[in-house]
Amino acid sequence: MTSTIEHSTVSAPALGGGIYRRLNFGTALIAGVVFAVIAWWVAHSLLDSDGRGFSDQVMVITAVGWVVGFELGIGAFTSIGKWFTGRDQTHADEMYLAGKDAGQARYWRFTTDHKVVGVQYIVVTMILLGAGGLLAMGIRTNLLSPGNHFVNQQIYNSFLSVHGMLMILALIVAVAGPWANFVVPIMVGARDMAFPRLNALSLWTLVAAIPLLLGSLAVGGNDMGWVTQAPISNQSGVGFDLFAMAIITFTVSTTVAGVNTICTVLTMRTKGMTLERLPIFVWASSIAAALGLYAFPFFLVVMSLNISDRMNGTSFFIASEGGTGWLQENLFWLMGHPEVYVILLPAVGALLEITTVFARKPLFSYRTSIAGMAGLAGLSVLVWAHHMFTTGWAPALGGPFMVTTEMISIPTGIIFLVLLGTLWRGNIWMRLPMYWVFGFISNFIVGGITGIYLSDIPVDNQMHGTMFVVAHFHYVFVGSVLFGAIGALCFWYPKVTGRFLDERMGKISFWLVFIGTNVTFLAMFVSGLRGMPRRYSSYSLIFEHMNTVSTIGAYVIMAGMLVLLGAVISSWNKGEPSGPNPWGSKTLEWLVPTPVPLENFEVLPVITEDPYTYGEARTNS
Amino acid sequence: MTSEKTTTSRAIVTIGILWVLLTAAGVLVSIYATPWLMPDSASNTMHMGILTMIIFSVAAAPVAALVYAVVLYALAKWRYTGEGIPPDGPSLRANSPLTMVWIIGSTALTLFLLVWGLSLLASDNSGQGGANEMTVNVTGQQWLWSFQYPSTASTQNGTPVSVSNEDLYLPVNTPIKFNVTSKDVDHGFWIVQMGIKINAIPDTITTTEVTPNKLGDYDIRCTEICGLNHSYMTTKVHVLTEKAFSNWLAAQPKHF
Amino acid sequence: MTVTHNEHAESGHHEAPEVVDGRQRLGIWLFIGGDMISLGALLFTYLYLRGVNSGGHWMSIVGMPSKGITSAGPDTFTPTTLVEQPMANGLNWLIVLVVVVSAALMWLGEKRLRASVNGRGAFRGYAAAATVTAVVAIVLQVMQVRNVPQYWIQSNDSALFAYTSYGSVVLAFGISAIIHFVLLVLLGAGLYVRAGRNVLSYEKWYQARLVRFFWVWIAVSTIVTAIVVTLLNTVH
Repeated sequence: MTSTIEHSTVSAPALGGGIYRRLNFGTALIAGVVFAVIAWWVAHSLLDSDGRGFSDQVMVITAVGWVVGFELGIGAFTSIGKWFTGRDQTHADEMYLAGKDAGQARYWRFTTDHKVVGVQYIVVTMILLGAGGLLAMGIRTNLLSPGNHFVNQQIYNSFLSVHGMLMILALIVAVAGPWANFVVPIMVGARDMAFPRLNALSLWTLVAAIPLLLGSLAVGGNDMGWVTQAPISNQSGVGFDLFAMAIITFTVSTTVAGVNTICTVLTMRTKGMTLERLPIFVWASSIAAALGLYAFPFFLVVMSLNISDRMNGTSFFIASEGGTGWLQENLFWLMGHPEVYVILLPAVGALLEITTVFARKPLFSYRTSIAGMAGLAGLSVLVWAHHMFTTGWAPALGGPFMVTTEMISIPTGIIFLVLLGTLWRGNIWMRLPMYWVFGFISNFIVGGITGIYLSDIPVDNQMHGTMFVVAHFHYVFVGSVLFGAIGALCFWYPKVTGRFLDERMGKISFWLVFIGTNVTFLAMFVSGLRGMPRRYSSYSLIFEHMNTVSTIGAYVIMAGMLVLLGAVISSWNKGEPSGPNPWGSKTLEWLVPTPVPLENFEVLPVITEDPYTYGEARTNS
Repeated sequence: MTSEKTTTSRAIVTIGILWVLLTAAGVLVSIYATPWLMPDSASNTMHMGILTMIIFSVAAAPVAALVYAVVLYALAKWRYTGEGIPPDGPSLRANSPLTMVWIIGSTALTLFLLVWGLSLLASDNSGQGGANEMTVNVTGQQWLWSFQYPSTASTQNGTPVSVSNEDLYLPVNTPIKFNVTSKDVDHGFWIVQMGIKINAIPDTITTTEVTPNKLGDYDIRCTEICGLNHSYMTTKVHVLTEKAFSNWLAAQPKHF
Repeated sequence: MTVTHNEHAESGHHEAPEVVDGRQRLGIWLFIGGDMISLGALLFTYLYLRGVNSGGHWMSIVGMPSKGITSAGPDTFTPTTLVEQPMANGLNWLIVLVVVVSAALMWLGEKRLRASVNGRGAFRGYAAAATVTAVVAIVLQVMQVRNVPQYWIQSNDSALFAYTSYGSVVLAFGISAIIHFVLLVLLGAGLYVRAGRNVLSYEKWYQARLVRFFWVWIAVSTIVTAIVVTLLNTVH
């Protein structure tokens, strides 16, 4: 008898991902445009075209349509929808979303793997810096000589406002976006961030904000400066509404990211990773994230109130109707000052990390450096009105704000102590990342000291609103933060790609950017000292020489940044292979293979000491 | 073999010498470059402002010099020139006395700058008052300044009139009080060579005071972005002798 | 850094629900913290504008009432100084009551869910009631927003709709409240559905607590807002 064996077919497990399989950046763009057009049409038809603020209302609703459509199209709402219907993600879904075995495609869609999000942030940062940089070149080209020979005043004013906002956004994410995402989870010994889907959401929300900001240029721009002061904000065209919606969208992205970072560091450290064994970069990123959580809600509120005054007839900032521009300035700077430390701290943290590795020394005064950063963050919420010394607001408060602002120089000084102490008697390895550390030290001394001048009211009465202020903050933003961001990129590039960033091109880029920065902004200090106001598109002849010098310096910076871009692109696939730990670092991200496997660690490590044991006897491993 | 102590003391001595040299250079630059770079002073406020810049620069010079001295020494003496990853350096994790000195030193320096700044602020604010103080009303609008002299106010056919002008004329050595306002958006009223600056805000009056102490023509520039022609919102201030000023004022037509 | 590998550390990559919940609780508290700052910014706005009372226009305006006039503008514009009355406290506090009741219902439901395996059914009832109550709150809040008086004011040669600065901040509070109440409705409905599918249950009750935290915060924020607006609503 022959027996027939019946094979019951077991159906293969369902492929994970569901609708996510069909969604990516392309569908997001399409959905965003479609929803924006629908929103525009609905608003245009239903709203009262004679009413106050009609065009603003239409533009705001269109912007909301764009964001909603884009988020739908990238799949940001999918898991929310699943939550509501009680269908949670399966393991296969999670793996799909994390980009398991997905190759290049996972970079173009909603991917939860923190390493993918980190790389996506590198690209977004480069786009923001590139766009902001182009506008900067437009500004400097116009300022080559007096007389608006390049663009007219209105375009110039829009250039400088959008340049400011683009660069602020770029710098907020420049170190935190790529590296708090890629590196911090591995540094604390975790497999991913605390909330991986929120991580992807924060990135794609930021991406959604960028066309709004760039689009504002297309519809007349915002020509009121990036601080969008009232009452002049009411005179701007509808470009202002897109500008403000971009910011509101961004605050959602950054709040989500901040919550994620803090939760990751507080709840996902591996066994033995006590707070005192955390790398300093983790501390810096966490303190910055906490400060951002405090500051950015003010941004959300002030831009909403600004829009409301334009489109609803409210009177928050309109003096003749009971409002006051001073309120706008207070709300703005309550955000604006802490925000610059949100920008600064991750860059400082990265540079400190680099210094320990390339001087082969422990971090000098670990506890003091944390106290310094915490003090910096804490004090920064008490200084905001130093931006308003000459506005006539509350002259009696001038003294107290002068005190708090000058006191910030103390924790700032601690940063220098830690840097110099870490360098002291080290074996300094002058590889590319270290160049940016030294550049930072030189530039930050200038930026920091000139800030102290401005904190003194009698000096500020002379310097506020002049190119002196512009030079000060560019020394800090470009000379210090950007140098930190580039240093971080050069440092962690081998971990991301397995290859060194081309050293020769990198060093050429460094010298061009360093020399260019100092030429541009030292000359700008002189312009300011001599009396040239800021946000001027044309100027008196006595300022021409220094402006020409600044413009030449700007072109040098641009050349340097282009060389860097070339190095980043060419080394990605053709750079010299580096191995998993080319720098001999002791932090956890260097102890995992390159490319880093999907869940970082096969077996989660147990930590017995901090990552700064240079020069100390090794314990048995 | 050089001992650790010798390396350290050698470093300290060399850095110390570098520090002194760089500080000296910084102090010289502070004292001579600052007034050369800044506009002429036409008031005591401006003079004190320039002096403050010099003092702050002199105070900053040793700080910057120390940082640069250490960095330059590090690059010269502690550079690793071998192949591959350098060997570890000494495990210098902390130095409490140094940290204390650093923090106390920076606090002391900050306090010094604060005391200077606050007392200067107090003396600037102590007001000029006095019987011979003259008031000028400043109005900013997109995109010009106008100045009105309320001391000349009278009525003409029932309409209040006074002297007003687009250039500012002031008598020397007279305390002036400016009442500043705007007709539309915020502007920044800045007399460059007198070191005073205050925003002009719609439906609000802000004030600032100065005593011009030098004859001549100076610049007024707008310092708050106010729209299209912000860059062109500049005008002149002419400081005349008291006699020339009263002659000028008397000869001006009155407007309402 | 010396690292030792603990062979027993890993038992698969799925974490215990308590661990996940601890993380999510921190997350929701941080988010609530950010929301507190936002409310703080609005309260700052209210107190600041009231304190400054620019030109005396905190609760008055030079214009005409807008009732019964179309968007084409009043035929003749005869502005006078109009003094505004504070918003009705009754409606304010009714909204507070509704939201507090809503939060209490949610809390009671969570208690029943955690008390016994059969509590899920009761939870659904409470969640449904809390959600419906939140909808009522939205309706009442929309009514209040619509009651904020508008005026015609003159701007250059045209007449424009405007609110006093008091009206503006009350409007801002109201719209912020509506947005938050909508979030509550979505969360309540979501929990209702999830409990029905047994994804939210006696064993896996954590998300009910997370939502309750947020719900109670919203109730607290409406109380705080109502206190400020009730006690400090006259011209300073």
